[in-house]
Amino acid sequence: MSTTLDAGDASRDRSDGTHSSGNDDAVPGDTEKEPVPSSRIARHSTDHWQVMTGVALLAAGVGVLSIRPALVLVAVVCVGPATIRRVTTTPEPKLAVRRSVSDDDPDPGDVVEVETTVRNVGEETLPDCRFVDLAPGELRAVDGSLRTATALRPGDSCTLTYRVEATRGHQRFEGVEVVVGDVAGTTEHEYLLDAPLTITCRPSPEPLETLLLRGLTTPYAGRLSTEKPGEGLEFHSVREYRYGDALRRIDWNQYASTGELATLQFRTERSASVVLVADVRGTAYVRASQEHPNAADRGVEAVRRLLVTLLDEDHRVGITTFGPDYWLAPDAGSEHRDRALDALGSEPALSPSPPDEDHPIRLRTLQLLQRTDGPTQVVICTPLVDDSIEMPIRMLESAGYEVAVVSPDPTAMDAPGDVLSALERRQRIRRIHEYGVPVIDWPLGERLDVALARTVERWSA
Amino acid sequence: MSTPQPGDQVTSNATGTDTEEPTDGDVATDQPADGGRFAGAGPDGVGAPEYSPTSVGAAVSVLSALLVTVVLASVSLTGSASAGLGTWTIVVALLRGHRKLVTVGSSLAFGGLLLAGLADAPTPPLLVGAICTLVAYDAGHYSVRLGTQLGPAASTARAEYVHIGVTAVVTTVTALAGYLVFRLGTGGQPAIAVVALLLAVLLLVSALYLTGE
Repeated sequence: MSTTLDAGDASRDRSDGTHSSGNDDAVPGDTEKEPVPSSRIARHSTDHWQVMTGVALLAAGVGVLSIRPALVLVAVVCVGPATIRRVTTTPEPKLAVRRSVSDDDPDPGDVVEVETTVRNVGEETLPDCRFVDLAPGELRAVDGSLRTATALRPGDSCTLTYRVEATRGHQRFEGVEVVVGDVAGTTEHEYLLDAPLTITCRPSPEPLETLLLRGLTTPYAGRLSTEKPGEGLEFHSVREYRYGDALRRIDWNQYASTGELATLQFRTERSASVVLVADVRGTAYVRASQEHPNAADRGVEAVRRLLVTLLDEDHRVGITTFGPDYWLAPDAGSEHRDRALDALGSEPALSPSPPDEDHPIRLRTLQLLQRTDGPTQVVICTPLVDDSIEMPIRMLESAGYEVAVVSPDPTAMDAPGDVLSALERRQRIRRIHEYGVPVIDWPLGERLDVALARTVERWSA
Repeated sequence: MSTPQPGDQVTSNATGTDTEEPTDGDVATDQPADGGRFAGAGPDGVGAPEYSPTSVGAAVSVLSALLVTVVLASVSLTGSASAGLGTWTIVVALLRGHRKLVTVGSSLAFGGLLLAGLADAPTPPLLVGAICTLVAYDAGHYSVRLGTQLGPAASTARAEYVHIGVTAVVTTVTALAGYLVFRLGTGGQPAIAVVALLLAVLLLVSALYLTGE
C-alpha cells in the first residue's frame, strides 16, 4: 500500500524543495541508508571563471603601466575566484531516494501527492545539486515543482513535493535526474538515479442513458426489442386468434366490440452480441490542441462507457482494437465486466500513448470476422481521420455484421489546414452514412450522452 | 511484472557508474536538465521548463552591479556611467536568460572600475567595486543557468545562498588580504607595494596555470 512520511514529522514542510538536517526523518530500520544505483549520463563544463586570469592580468597591466597601485589590488581580487576554480573538484554523489505517493490506485482526474526525498548518504558535501523528478509524461502537475536546487551535507536530505492529476493506465515514475556541480560552478555532472514507482489508475465509467444498438440479436432472451412478434412488453401487432394462444394475450376489447377473437403480439426481446472496437492506430492519436485529450483516448473512453451500458442491459460485449492486437470475446457477467474494465484501464494496447509501429487494419478486420461466431453488432470508436477506416466498415457490413460508429471529433476550425481536414472528415461521415451505418459525431466539449441521443433520435426518425 | 511498492527503498551498492569518459572542452549547454521530457507537466511548463531567473541570484547580481555604480559615482563619473550601463545590461540579460549578456554587463562594470582607477580613485572604493563586480558576474551566470535548467516553480534559494556566499567570501578575503599587504607590508611606500603585489599576482597566476592542467 502507499506509504507516506509521518504527518507529525518536524522536518517536513508543505512547500517543495524543503530541506532537513541530520537523520531526523529516517525511520528506524529504514533502508534509506543505501545509495541507489545511478549512472552518469553527461558532463558539462560551465566554467565562467575561466576569464578570471585574463581579467587579473589586464587590471594588473593597466595598473602597472599607469602606476596605479589600486588597480593592481583589483587584479589581486580576481585571483581569489581563479584559485577556487582550480582547487575545487566535483564531488562523486552517493544518494538515496525514497518516493511515496498518497494513492497508488487513483481514479482518473484524482489528485495524487508525490513526495520524493533524496538523501546524501555519502561522505562528501554536495555544495550544488539539482534534482529533477522524472514523472510520467502523461501526468499533469497541478501544483508544486518537480525540480529543485539545493546543497546537501552528508546525511542531509531534501524533499520534492508536488501534486499530479492522474490519468488512466500504469503510470511509471522512472527516477530522479541529478545535476551535481562543484562549489565554484565550473563543472556539472548529470546522473540518473533509479527510483521506479508505478501507480495504476483505473477508471470507473458511468453508463450511458441511450443505447447504441442496431437490430441484430442473438437467440438468447434479453432486453433489446426486436421486430419479431411474440412475447414481450412493447406492442407489436394484432393477429387472428389461433388455437392454443394464451388467454392473457387475447384482445378482449376487440372481442367486446366485434365478437371476434384476436391475439395481441409483442416485440420479442433478445440480447445482442456486440464487439466494441477501439481505433488505437498511431493516426488516431490526434488532438485539436495540446491541452485537449487525444481522439484515441476519447475513443477508449467511449468504449468503456458503451461497455458498462451494454453489460448493464444484459448484452454480451467483447472488445478488440484496430492497432496493437487485443481481443476479449463477447461475454456477459460480472467477472467479464471486471476483466474488460481492467483491460480498458491498463492494457498496453489501449494505452494513452500512441503505438510505436503500424498495424494493418485489414488483418484486424479479418481476425474480427474469424473470431466472432456468426454476425454480431460492431461499434467502432474512431476519430475517422483517414480513408482506410472505411474498408473494415464495408467488409463487416457485407459479411452481414451490423456496424455503428462513434467518432470523437479531433478537428478544429482554427487554421486552413484544420478546416480542410474537418471538411474531409465530414465527407467521410457522409460516405459511411450511405452504407446505412449510423455515425455518432462526438464533438469535443459535448457529453457523449448528448451526441448519442441526438444521432439515435435522427437515425430512428 | 514486479512493481516496487511506493515508499520501497531501491538498494544497491553500485553508485556513480560512469557511462562516459569526461572529456575536456565539453561545451556548456543551457539545455533543461530533463531534456524536455515532461510534456504536459502543468505549472512546471509543457516540455522544457520555461525560463525564469531565480530570485536570489538575480537580486544579488543586480544589486551588486548597482552597488558598483553607486560606489564609483563618488570617485569617477565616467566609470560610474559605464557600470550603470553594465547594470542595465545585466538586468536585460537576466530577463532574457542570456549568459553572454551577463558577461558583457559585468565587463562594462569592470571597465568602469578601470576608468575610475585611471582617474586616481582611492583604493577602498575600487576594491569594494571589484568584489561587487565579481559577485554580480557570478550570481548572474548562476541565476541564468538555474533558471534555464529548473524553470520558475523550482525552489533554488539554498543552492544559491551557498554558491554566491562562497564567491562573496572568497573575493572579500582575497581583497582584504591584498589590502592588508598593501597597507602594512610596504610601510606606506606605494612603489614597493606595486612591485610586491605584481610579483604576487604573477606567481599566483603562473602557479595556477602550471598546476591546473
